[in-house]
Amino acid sequence: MLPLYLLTNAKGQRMLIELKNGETIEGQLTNVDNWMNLTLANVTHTSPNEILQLPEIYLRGNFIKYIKLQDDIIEKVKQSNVQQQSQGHHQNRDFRRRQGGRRDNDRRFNQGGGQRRHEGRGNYNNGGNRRSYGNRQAEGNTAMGGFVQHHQTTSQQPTPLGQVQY
Amino acid sequence: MSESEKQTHNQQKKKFEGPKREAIVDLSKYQDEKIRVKLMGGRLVTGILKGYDQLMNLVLDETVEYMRDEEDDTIILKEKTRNLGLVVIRGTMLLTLSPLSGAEIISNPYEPYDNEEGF
Repeated sequence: MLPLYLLTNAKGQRMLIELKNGETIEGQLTNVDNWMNLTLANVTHTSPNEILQLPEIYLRGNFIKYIKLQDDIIEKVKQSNVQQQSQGHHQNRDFRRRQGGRRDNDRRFNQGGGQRRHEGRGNYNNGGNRRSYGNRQAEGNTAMGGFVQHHQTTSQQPTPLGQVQY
Repeated sequence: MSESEKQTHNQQKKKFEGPKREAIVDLSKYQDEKIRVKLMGGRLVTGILKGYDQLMNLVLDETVEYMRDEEDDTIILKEKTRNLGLVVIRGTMLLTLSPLSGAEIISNPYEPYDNEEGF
């Protein structure tokens, strides 16, 4: 269970983050990247001066001291991981193998087909992470940049990948 | 380098060495809106977002910096500001970024300043 893996799969959860300057930020996680930069929604930002309520916030991973997550989050992530593997995983691997063969042709073919292409991109952004992870990421990354859409995906909905994409 | 070549290249890379930077926040929705930015070193500024790039360098207009208590520079004096005007903020120095609209003070543990601006 890697830290970033846990976080990525904890999107939508409420958590408390303490920053290096002692301020704390509590909110619902909407997005994480490979640098642990976060975006949060419905945020309470507590600094020595005041307590602020913000609709959303972006914060540098660099500046995080620690993150307090809900106790049961690790279980939830494990569970959704298992479901993920039993569903999309095999197909995903299959796809890879094929890709290894005649990559260029395959690629060009797939680009027409929307969904496939997205899967590829997820990979790209991931720099080749573990497979199930890459697969999961793919779903979220279709809307790169628009993080509002992001948090509706991933851990809450274990099912759609297999059915929708293949 | 074609897209597929790039892809294999990336697959060979190690775990968290992804692309240089992928945006997880869409700054276009803050374009021409007031935002509040905390910087490394403890400065707090607000300004109207005029531009940005992938590295999160920002262009802010009508920027206002909130001055800090001279003895304890973690305490921000909201009534004491200085106008910076048009500035470029370097992305590497940015710590937090949030929109000003919709922000509200729930409570102030210290002095109860009157502040309509809702900063």
